[in-house]
Amino acid sequence: MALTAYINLTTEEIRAAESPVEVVVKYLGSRGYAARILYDNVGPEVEPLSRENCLIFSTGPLTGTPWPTGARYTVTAKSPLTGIYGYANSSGFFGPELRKAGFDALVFTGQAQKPLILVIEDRELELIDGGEFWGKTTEETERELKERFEGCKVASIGPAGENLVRVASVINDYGRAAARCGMGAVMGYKRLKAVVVRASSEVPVTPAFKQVALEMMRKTGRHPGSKSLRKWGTVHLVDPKNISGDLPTRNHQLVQFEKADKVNAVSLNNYLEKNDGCYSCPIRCSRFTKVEHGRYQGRTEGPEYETVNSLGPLVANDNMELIIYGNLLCNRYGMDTISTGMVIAFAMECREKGLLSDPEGLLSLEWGDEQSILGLIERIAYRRGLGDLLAQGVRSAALKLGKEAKKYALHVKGLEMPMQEPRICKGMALGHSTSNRGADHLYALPTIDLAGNVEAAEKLFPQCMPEILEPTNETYKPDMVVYTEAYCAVSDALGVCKFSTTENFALYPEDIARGLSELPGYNHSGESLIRAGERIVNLERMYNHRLGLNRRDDQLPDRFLGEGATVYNMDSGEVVKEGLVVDLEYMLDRYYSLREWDQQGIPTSSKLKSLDLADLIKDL
Amino acid sequence: MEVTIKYFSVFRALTNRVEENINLAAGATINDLLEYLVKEYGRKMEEMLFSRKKLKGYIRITINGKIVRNVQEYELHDQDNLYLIVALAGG
Repeated sequence: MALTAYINLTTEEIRAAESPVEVVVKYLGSRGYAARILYDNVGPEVEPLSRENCLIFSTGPLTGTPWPTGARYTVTAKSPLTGIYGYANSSGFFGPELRKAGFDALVFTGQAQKPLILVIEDRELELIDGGEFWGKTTEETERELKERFEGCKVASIGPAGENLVRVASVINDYGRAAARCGMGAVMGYKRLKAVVVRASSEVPVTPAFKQVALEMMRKTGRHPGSKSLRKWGTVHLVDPKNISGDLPTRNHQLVQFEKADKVNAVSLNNYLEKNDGCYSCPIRCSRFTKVEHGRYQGRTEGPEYETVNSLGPLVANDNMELIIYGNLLCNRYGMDTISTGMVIAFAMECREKGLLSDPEGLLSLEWGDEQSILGLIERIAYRRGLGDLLAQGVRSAALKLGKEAKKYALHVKGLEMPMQEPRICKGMALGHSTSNRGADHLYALPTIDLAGNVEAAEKLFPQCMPEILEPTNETYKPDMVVYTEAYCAVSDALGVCKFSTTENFALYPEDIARGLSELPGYNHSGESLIRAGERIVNLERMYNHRLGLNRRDDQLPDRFLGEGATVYNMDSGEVVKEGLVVDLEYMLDRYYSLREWDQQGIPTSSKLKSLDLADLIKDL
Repeated sequence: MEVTIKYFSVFRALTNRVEENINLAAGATINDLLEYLVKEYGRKMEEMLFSRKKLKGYIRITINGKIVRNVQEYELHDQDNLYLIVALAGG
C-alpha cells in the first residue's frame, strides 16, 4: 500500500504510515486526497504563512504508471496569495518518482529553524541541512542536488519562495512549475528548500491494467488534438485567439495584439531546440527553446501559451526572445508566469493612469518596455523597490494604491486572471469566476466550444446544441462548466494531464474508469468518476464557505462586466464585433441551480448527503 | 442540392446570420461551398478562411456532427448539415 508521510519541520519528526485507503479512494487521490487533508487539518483560523498551515505534496493512483500522461502531482496549502483553498499541480518526472517511491502524500507542518531538504530514497525519508542551497535559484539547486544524488528528481523553490513572494511557485525538472496560488511562499515560510526523491522500483500494476493503458496510450496519441499539440505546442493558440479577440492585451484593455505574428508559434519555432514530453506522455507538447545570441541568451522548457501571452501581448511586448528569457527567469526565481505577467501589466496600467511610478526612478513602466519587464521580474523575486509591493499580487497591491487602482487589479478571489478573454469566451468567464482556487482556466478547462469539439458536445450535451458551441453565447455555458469542473477534478486527483481529458476529450471518463478499475480499491464507471469529481469540487467549495466566501466572491472584475470589448479584423481594421460584456449573473444563477447549491453558491445539506459528504453539513 | 450551414463566433458576425440554406450543384465539394461564401461575403470571409488559398489550420468544419479532415475535397450531399467554426482551445 502507498504511504502518507507526516513531516513536522519544527521538530524534524517524520512519521510515515499506510494511507487511509477508504479516504484516498473516496477522493481518488492527489488533489482530492489533499483537499480532504487540508479540510481536516487547516481550519479557518489558520494563517497561510504559519506553522499550522499544511503543505501537501500528493500523487494520484495513475501517477507514475504506464497510463497516458500519468505524470502529475499536486501541491496543496491554504494560499498566502488568496487566503483561501489553494493548490497547484505540475507534470514532468518528479511526481512519478514520488509515486514510485511509494507515496500518496507528504504532509509538511511547522517551520524549520534552518533551511532543510527532504531526501526520499524509496520509503526512507531524511531531512538534511539545506543551508548551502538557500539563496540559490531552482536551476542551481536542482543541478547540484542531482550531482549529489545521482538519478534523483527534485522539486525546489527559488529566491521568490524564500522571500515569501505571494506568486512564488514550486519548480521541478528545471522547467515544470506547480505555479499558482503561491505554494512556493508556503514552502519558503517553512524553510523547506527542496524535496529530493529517488525510487528503485516501478509502480506495481497488473497485466490487465497495462493492456488498457496501452490501448489508451494509442487512443490519446492518435487524437487530432494531440497531434496539433505535438506539432505546434500550446503556442499554436496565439493566431486563432488573436482573430477571435481572445488574446488579452495591455492588461485586458484590448482583446487583440497588433503584433501577434511576432509572438506566435511560427516565431517561437525560430528558437526551437526540441519537442519533448513528460513521463508516459504520447502527446509531447513541450517545446525546449534556446536563444543563442544577444542579451537574452539562455535555454528553457517552454514558454507555453500562457507565458507567451502574459509576458507578451498582456504587457505589449512583441519580442519573443524577451518572452523566452522572462520565462527562464521566472523558472529560476520560482515564480508563476501568469501572475507575474499580470502584476507587471497592472503596474503598467497604473502608470498609464497616473497612479504609480517607480520609486527608484529606474523603470519607465511604459507598455512593452523591456527594461521594466525584466527589472520587475527581478525586483519581485527579491522584493526590492517596487517589487516589494507587486510581490503581494494585484489585489493586495491595489489595496495599497487606493480605490482607483482596484479597477486595474484583475483577479478572482485574489488569484490573477489567466490568459483568456472572458468577454469572448463565456465558458472561461464562468470557469474563472466559480473556480475554488480563484481565477483559473484549468479548474474547468471549458474548451468544448473553443475547440469546436462537436463530437464531445453532441455526446455530452445533446440538449444544448448548437448554442453550446458558440463561445460568446452564455445560455448553456453553466452546463459545460459544471461537467468539466468535475472532469478536471478527476484528472488532477488521478494524476493525469488535462490535455488527455477535458482539453480535447481524447479520453472520456469511461475510458479512464476501465483502467482505474484494474487498480486495487477502485471500481468505477464513467458516471461514478464524474460524481467523485463533483465530490471534490463540493469539498473545496465547503473549505471556502467555512471561510465565509459566497456568491460575491464568484465575481469577475468590473472590466469584463461593463467595459465593452471590440473585435477587429486585424488586416482591414474593420469592426467585426463590439460591445461584448459578460452576463455573469445569468450564468451563476444557472450554474448554482445545476450544482444544486443555493443562490449564494453554497452547497445544500441534501447535496452534501448525496455526495457522501454528510460530515460537512455541520459546517454549513 | 441544398445544404444547411451553421455559423459560429466570428463567422456569425461576418455573415450576420446564425445559419442559412445554400443551393449547390450536384457533386459540389466543400471547396465549392467555401468559394461561394467568399463570393457572397467578400474579402473578410476570404481572409478568415484562407491563407495562400489553403484553408487555415484552425478552421474546423463538421458535416452531420462529424469533424471532416482533408476538408476541401470532401464531396457534399443533399441535406447535409455543416458547422463552420474557428477552433481555439484552452491554454
